[in-house]
Amino acid sequence: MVLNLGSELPPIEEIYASAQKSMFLNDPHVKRLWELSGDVGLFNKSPEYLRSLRRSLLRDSLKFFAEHSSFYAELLERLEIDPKGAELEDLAKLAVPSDMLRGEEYRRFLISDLDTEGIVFSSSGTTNNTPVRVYRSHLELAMMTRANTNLFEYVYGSRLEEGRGLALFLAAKELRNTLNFVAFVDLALQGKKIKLLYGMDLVSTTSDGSQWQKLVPSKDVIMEFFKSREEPKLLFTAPAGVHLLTKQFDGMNALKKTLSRLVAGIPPVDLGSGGVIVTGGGSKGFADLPPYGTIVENARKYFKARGRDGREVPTPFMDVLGMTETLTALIDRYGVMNKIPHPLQEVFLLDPKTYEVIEEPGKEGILGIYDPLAVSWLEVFLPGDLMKFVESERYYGREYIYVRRLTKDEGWDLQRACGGTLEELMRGRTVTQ
Amino acid sequence: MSLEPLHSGAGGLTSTSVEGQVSYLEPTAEWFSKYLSNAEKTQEGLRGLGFRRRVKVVAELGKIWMERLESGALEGLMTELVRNTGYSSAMVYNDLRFAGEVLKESNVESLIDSGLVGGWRSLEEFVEVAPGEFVANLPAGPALIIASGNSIVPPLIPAVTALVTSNVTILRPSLTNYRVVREVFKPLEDLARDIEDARILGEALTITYLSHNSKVLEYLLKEAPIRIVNYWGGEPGRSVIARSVVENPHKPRLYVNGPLTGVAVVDGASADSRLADALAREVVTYDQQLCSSPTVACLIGDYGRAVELAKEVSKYLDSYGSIHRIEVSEGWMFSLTTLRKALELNGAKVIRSSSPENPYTIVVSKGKSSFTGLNLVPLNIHSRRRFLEIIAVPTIDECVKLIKELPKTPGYAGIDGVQTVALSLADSRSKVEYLRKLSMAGVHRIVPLGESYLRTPYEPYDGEYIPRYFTRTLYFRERLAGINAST
Repeated sequence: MVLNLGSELPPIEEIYASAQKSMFLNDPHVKRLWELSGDVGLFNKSPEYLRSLRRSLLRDSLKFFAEHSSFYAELLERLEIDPKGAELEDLAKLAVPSDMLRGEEYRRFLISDLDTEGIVFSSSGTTNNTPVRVYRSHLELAMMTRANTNLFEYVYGSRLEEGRGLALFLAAKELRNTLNFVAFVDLALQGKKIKLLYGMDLVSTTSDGSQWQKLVPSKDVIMEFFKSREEPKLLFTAPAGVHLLTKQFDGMNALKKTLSRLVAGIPPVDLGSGGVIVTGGGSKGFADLPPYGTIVENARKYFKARGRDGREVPTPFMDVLGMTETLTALIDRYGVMNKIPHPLQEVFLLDPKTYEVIEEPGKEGILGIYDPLAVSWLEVFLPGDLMKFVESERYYGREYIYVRRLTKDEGWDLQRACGGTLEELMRGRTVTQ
Repeated sequence: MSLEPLHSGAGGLTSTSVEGQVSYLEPTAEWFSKYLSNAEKTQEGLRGLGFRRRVKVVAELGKIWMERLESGALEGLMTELVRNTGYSSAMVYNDLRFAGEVLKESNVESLIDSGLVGGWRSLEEFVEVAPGEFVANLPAGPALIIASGNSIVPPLIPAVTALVTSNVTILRPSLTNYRVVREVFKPLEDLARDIEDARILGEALTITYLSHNSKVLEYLLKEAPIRIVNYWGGEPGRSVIARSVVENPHKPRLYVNGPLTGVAVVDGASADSRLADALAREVVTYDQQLCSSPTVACLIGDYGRAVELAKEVSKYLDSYGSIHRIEVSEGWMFSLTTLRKALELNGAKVIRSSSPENPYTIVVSKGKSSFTGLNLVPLNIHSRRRFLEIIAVPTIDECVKLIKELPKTPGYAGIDGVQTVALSLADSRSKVEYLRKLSMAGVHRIVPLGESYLRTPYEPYDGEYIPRYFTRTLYFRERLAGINAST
C-alpha cells in the first residue's frame, strides 16, 4: 500500500477533522475505541471493571485485525489463538520485541486497508543506529491525543484549563514530526490551547566534510519562559535537560546569582500555581546521570511551584515512559504515584526465563504493552525493559516501577562452535547478520 | 583464571605474564626461537622411537585420563567446562570420556593407518605401493595447531596425530577448554622422569594459550620456522591467520578446518517415532555445537508430515532435554524470543519449550528456510542451541539445492558448508539415488541419522585425512618393469 506520509505534524484541528472522515469510524469496534479514548470516566472505574473491558477489547481487536489482514489471520492460526477466547497469555504469544520494528519493518505489520494519511514516528536512536519506526494514522493521532491528555491530567491531579499557562519543551520544534513524546505533548497542549515554546534549535553544521544537525539551546526562548508571569508553567524535558539546568544554576557564584535575580528574576524559576516539570525519554545517552530522585531533589532548589491555594509545594515532577511504538504512555508523579498506564492499555510483565505472565508484585519481568487504540497495526510489543509492579488502590490496581534495560548478551561468550578460536576477536561483534 | 603453558622437555620453558582481557603465561618468542632451532633433532629423536612406542606413550596418557575421570578427580575441570561451554554436566562427562577413546592405542593406529598411503608402516620405512614403487611418510612439521572450543576431541585429534607422526607440536587450545586439554597431557611431566619415550615425546610438545594479539603468536605465524599451521575456526580469525602465514619466509602450509554444520535428510515415509527420537538425541548432543550436528532437517514429503514430525521430536526433546539441563542468560533468552517471533511472522510454525533449562525450538518451514528474507537474526548459528529447522521439500533435488545454498541463507551465515548428512530412508532401494545426488551437494560425510557425532578412526575430517596434514610423502621408484613411463 502507498502511505501518504506527511513530513510535518498537522495541527490538532486538522487531525481531528481528518480522523472524523476515517472509514473505520463505521466499524463498531473502532467507533467504541474512539469513544473510550476520550472517556474521563474510565479513571473512576474499578480495576476489575477495566480488566474485563480490556479483555473484551482484546477479543474484538483480534477479530478486527484478522478481518482486515491476511497476515494477522494466518498468524493467529499458526499461534492457535482464537480471537473469541483470547486471554492475556495470548498477548504474550503475540508480543514482538521492538527490535523487529527497526527501519522499514513496521510496514509488514500494517493492515491492508488502513487510513493512508498519517505520520511515521522514529525512536531517537539512543540504543540503536537504526531507529524503531511506527506509522500513525490521523485517527490514531486523535485517539492518542485524547487518551494521553486524560491520563496526563489524572496524574497531574487536575484538569489543565484551556488557554491558561505556558509550556516550554527543551527540544527543537522539528522533533515533533518524528518523536512520539514531543508530538504527544505538542498535540495535547494544542488541544488545551496552551502556548508551547521550544527551547532548542536544530542547527546545521559541517564537520569533517559532512553535514550534521545538532541541538543548541535557544537562550532567548528559555529566558522568555523563565521570566513569564503566566501560570501554571509546564516544563517538558529529558531528565538530562533539567539536570544540566540545575548544574548551571549550581555553577553560578553568589554575585552572578544576585545579578541574575536583579535582571531576570531567576534563580529560582517560579513555575507558579500548578507548575510542573515533566520528564521523559530516559537517559538519552547521558551515562553519568545521577539517580532520578537526586535529579529531582537538586532541581527543586531552583524550580519552585505553588499549589492551587498559592502556598509553595515541593515542585511536582512527572515522568513519562513512552516509546515510539506505544500509543499511550505510562506516567508517574514523583513521591505520589508510580508509573500508571491508561485504563485501556494492557501492561503485562513476563518472566525473563520462562516468558510466562508474572502475577506476583515485586517480581522483575520483561515489560509487554498492548494498546488497543492502535488500529493500523496490532500494537503488542516488548520494548526490552525490565519493570516490576506494586499493588495500587487506583483505577489500574497496579503501578509500575522501572528497573532497567535488558542486557542483550549472546551467552557463552567464549564459545563459538567450530569457530571457537581466537575468541577475543569475536567479542563485541554484533550477532545480527 | 590462571593459564600456564605445558612443556615437559628437559630444558624447561621461559615464559612471561600477559595481562589483558585474559591473564596468562606465555613462552617468550626467544624461547620458541631457540626451541624451534632444535626441532629437526627433536623430530629425529621422536621418529627414532618408532611408531608403536610413540603410540604407547599416548595410550598411557589415555589410561591415566580415564582413571582420573572415573575416580572423580576431574570434577573441578568438569564444572569449569560446563560453565565455559554451556553444556550439561552429562554432556561434558561424555566429552571427557570420548577423549579417552581418542587416545586408545587401537584407535590411534587405525587413524594413521587409514590416513596415510602406505599405512602406519610408511612412517618407519618405504612401503611398496605398486610393483617397484614405494612411499615413506616423514614428519612435515614443526606444527602449530590452533584448536577449537566446542569439544575437547577436535584439539586432541590433530595434536595426537602430529605427535605420533613425529612432529614438534605447538598446541594452542581454545580458551574454553584450555585447562582441560592441558590436563590431558600433563601426566607427561611425571612420565618423562621415569620413561625415556615419554621424555622424548614431551620434548616435542608445547601447549600454551596465546591471545589473538599476542606478539608471540605473531612471531610464530609470521617469522618462526613453522612448517604447518592447522587452524580450527571461522572468521575473523581465519583471515588474520592466513594473512600472517603468507608473510612467513618458511612458507608454512595452512590447513583450515572451518565451521560446518549438519543436515538430516529424511524421506517422509521414514519420519516415524524412532526417527524423531534419533533426531532429538542429535539436537541435544553437544547442543548442536559440532560441525556434524544437524541444525536443519530436510524432510522429503509434505508440510503436514513435517509438522507431525516436529511435534514428535518435541516430545523427545522434552525428555532428553530435561536430562541435559543447561543454564541460559536473560539476554540470550530475549534474543531467542525475538528470533522465534521473527520466524513466526515470516510464516514459520514454531514449536518451543517454555523451560529455560531446556530451551529448544523447532521451526517448521515449507519449501525453503524460514530465515530467507529475514533482516533480523539475533542469534547466529553458533549462538543457537537446541534449535532445529525442519524444512519440507518435495524432492531430494530440492534438498540438495537447499544444502548447497545453506551457507548463503540468512541465519546460517558463518558456516563454510554442510559437513554431515544424517540420512534416514524408509525404502533402501532409493539409497543409491540419494547417495548419488547427495554426493553432488558438497558434503563430507553421510551417516545414519542418530550417529552424526560418532566418528570412527577410519573417517576423514572435513574431506581430508588428518595424518596427511602432518606428513610429507617421499616417493621412491626402483624400476618401471615393462611400462613406458610418461614424462
